[in-house]
Parts: sequence; C-alpha cells; structure tokens
Amino acid sequence: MTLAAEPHTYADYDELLEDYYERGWTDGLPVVPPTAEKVQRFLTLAGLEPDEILGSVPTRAVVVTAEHAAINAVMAGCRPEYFPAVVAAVRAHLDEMGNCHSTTGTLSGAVQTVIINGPVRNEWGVASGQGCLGPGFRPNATIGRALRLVIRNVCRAIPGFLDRASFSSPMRYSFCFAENEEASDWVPLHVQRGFAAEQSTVTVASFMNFVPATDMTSRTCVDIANSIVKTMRSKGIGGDKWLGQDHNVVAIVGKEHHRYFIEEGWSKADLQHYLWERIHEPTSGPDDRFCNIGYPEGILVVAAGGAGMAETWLLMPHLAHAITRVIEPAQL
Amino acid sequence: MAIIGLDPSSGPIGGGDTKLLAPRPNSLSGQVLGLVANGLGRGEDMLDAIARNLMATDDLAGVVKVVKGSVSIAPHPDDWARLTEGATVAITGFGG
Amino acid sequence: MRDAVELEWAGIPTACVVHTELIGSARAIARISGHETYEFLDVGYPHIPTAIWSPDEIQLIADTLTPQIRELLLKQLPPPE
Repeated sequence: MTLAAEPHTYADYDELLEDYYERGWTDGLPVVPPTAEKVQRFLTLAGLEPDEILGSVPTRAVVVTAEHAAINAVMAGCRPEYFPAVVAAVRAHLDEMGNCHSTTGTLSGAVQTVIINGPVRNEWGVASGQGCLGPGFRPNATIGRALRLVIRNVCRAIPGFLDRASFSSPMRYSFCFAENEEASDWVPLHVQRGFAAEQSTVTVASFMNFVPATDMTSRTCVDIANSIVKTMRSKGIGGDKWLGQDHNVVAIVGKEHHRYFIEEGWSKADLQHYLWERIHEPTSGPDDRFCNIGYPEGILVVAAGGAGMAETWLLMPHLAHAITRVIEPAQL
Repeated sequence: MAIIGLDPSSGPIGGGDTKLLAPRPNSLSGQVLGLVANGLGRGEDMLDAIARNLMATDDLAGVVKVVKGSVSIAPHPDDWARLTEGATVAITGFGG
Repeated sequence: MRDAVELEWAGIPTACVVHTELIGSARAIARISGHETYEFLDVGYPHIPTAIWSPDEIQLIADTLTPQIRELLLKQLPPPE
C-alpha cells in the first residue's frame, strides 16, 4: 500500500510534537504520531485504498481521501476499529447538505456533533449514559476529535485562515456520543432515518447553539414537552431556500425527562409530533420565534445522559442538514 | 529512535494550474451589471443601491441579479447560467 | 469570494464586496484559488451586523463603495507572469 503523504523524520516524539504544533497540524493538544505503519493498518482494517475519495470542499480546492482521514484518526488517538466510524463521519460532514464550507468557516463558530447508533456503541463502549457528552470515554473523545482534525488539517478550517469564528467553542475539540438505545423502546435515530437496527451509523449535525431545556419541576410529558418547545422557540430556527424543508434540530432527551415519556407511553414519534406542531406556529414576539423545521421527523430525538438533572439538551442547527451514514464493518 | 510522521494536511495552498482573471473593460458604458447577493442580512439592499448608483451615472445596459439559496453555497446552476450568459461585469457580496 | 473568482474565470470582471470581519477568509479563498493578490473591497462602515443596517446606512455604504467598484472593475490587470 503506497501512501501519498509527505513523510517527516524526527529524532524523537518530542521533536515531532513540537514540529506538528509549529506547522499548525494539531488542535493544540498532543497527538499520536501518524506513522505509515499505523495509517496502513487503519486503512486495511477499513478495507479502503489510500486514494479513496471521501468527499470534497470545492470552494477550498480540497479533496479528502481515506488516507487523510486515517492519518488524522491516528493522530486523534483512535483505536483502529474506530476508523470506519471516522470515515462515515467525514463522508457525512462532506455531504453537500452538510455544508462544510459554511459550518466550519462561520463567525458563529458552529460545532459538529457525531451521534453513534447501532451495535458498535456497545462493542466499543461509546458512552451514551452518565457524562456522555464530556471527557473520559475514548471512542467519544477520539472519533469526534478525528473529524475535527480532518476539518482543520485537510479542509483548512484553521482559526485566522478559513475558520472565522468570533469565539469558537470548546466543543470543537471533540463532540461525539451515542444514543442510549436500551433505555426504552424508542425507535433508534438511525432506524427512524431508514437504516436497519443491526447496522451501525453516524449522524453528523452542525449546530450553532447548545441549549438546555431544564425543567426540574414538571411531572408530565405534556409539561416537559412544553418546556422543550419554549426553549426551542426562545432561540428560533431560521432557514433558507437551499436548506428547504429538510432542516434538523437535535433534542438529546435526558434520563429524568425520558422516564416520564416511558411511564406515559409516549413514543419518539409522539414527542416529535407534539413538538413540531408547536415549534412551527408563527412567532408571537422576539422571545418566541418560529422554528423552520419542515416536518416532525426533522426533530432528531435522541435519548442519552445520566440521572439527576432534569434536562433535554438542544442542538440548534447551523446552515446544514444532519446527515446519517453507515459505519461499514471493520475487516478484523 | 527516529520517528517518521506523515503530513496530515491537504498540502500546500495555492499554486498549481491557475486560470486567468477576466480582462477589464475601458468603461462601464453599455455593460450589463451582474449582482450576486448571498442573502446575508441586508446585503441585497446594498447591492441594489450600488446598482442604482451605477445605472444613474455610468450608462449601464442593464442589470442581472441573482440571490443565492444560502450564504455559503454556489448560485443555483440556472441562476449561474443566467448570470454568465447575461452579465459582462459583476459585483458579488457580501461575505467571505 | 469564490463566486467572484468563478465569474472571473468565466470572463466576467468582478468586484467582490466583503465584510471587514470576513476579509481573512476572502484572502484565504483568493489564495487557494491561485490569485493571492486579487483585490476586493471592504465594507468597513458601519461596523455593525448587516441585519440592522438602516436604509440611510445602506445608501451611505453604497455611495462609498460605488466609486471604488467602478475603479476596481476598470483597473487594468498586470500582464500574467
């Protein structure tokens, strides 16, 4: 297997690390040295040739190959078996409607989240429960980081260059978690989006605001759902001709809210329909805005998180659709 | 022990097979002005105002306006055809 | 900026108007496109979000930019190297 990337020789790891940082090839954190052997192992396991094209960003004259993704996945600290998820995430993000150029260049500092569904969650231990959005879980930390390193190193979204975020976000280091599919009989996100339950997928969504719908006092589904509606409408969701009707918002329903939906027998579809009918009503003022989501299934409801805080976290979208791609099984 | 690490980037920026910029006219008189509005904020109103100014002073032959479907995407192919077939000079705005 | 470059490549001289905060990315796209010294115009005033420009401010910006646009569209390019 012949690789195209230019090799650089260093006396030791410290020298490599300093040079990678100086060249702008890291997110500021240490990286795993991307040696040819490791990169080849990732590619072989995923059954990909180095020059397989995963996507492109035409405005930036960028074509992203499997080799690019593998190098950055190694650097991010991925285990080899995670690499098919990185490949799927890169493909999803580089889908035309994933809108890489806008979502990684915007002043707003939009963030890319990677939501994992299917069997690999349990095989790899992708966190979906307590603390799942934070540090401490290798697949969550490294798959999300790998996507961001591809965005930085290959797609040229470097602060001060094509990344123009006014503040940016610590969530841009890495944002990956899994749906807690075992928490209830809710239909998993990927199945709602047309994939088989036994398939594993990533769903990549770019979002502008990460907003908690905190409601510690409500004890009925209707009241909790109304809190979610109120929070969504406090921000509103715009749209444009290009985004059309397929715009998405993600609602990460926490355990303390989810338990009421289980008790009262609300399906995911019930919640989606309830929310959609109410977020879609015309605005009644500056703090109560219309949300431009074309249909109920455009609200991506995901169960995750641990007990304690009665919250549903909302990922208010940037100018992109959420895109789901299958994780092709590794060739172990 | 020496370590050989691979370049993780998409390579050097720029260079390569560069196409030429368009030759400039000597006057705007008789030119058809293309406007490409990206839809951000009131940028379209700004382009309209500039077009009105130029129409009043520079004897333009006409204006072809395209409003993009979203801020950071290319114009729709139909709009692009209308623009490139109709306009002889253009203004794009605004954003990055 | 990419639209301007594509129009140039299609033979249409173009003036690209850029907000001050996005000059960096405009320069980056010009560089990526192989035109590192490509000239464009900066809306430097008023330094507020475009969504809240008043009609008077829009006209002021247009009046400021119009002669600059004319100059840029007519400015002869140096011969290619």
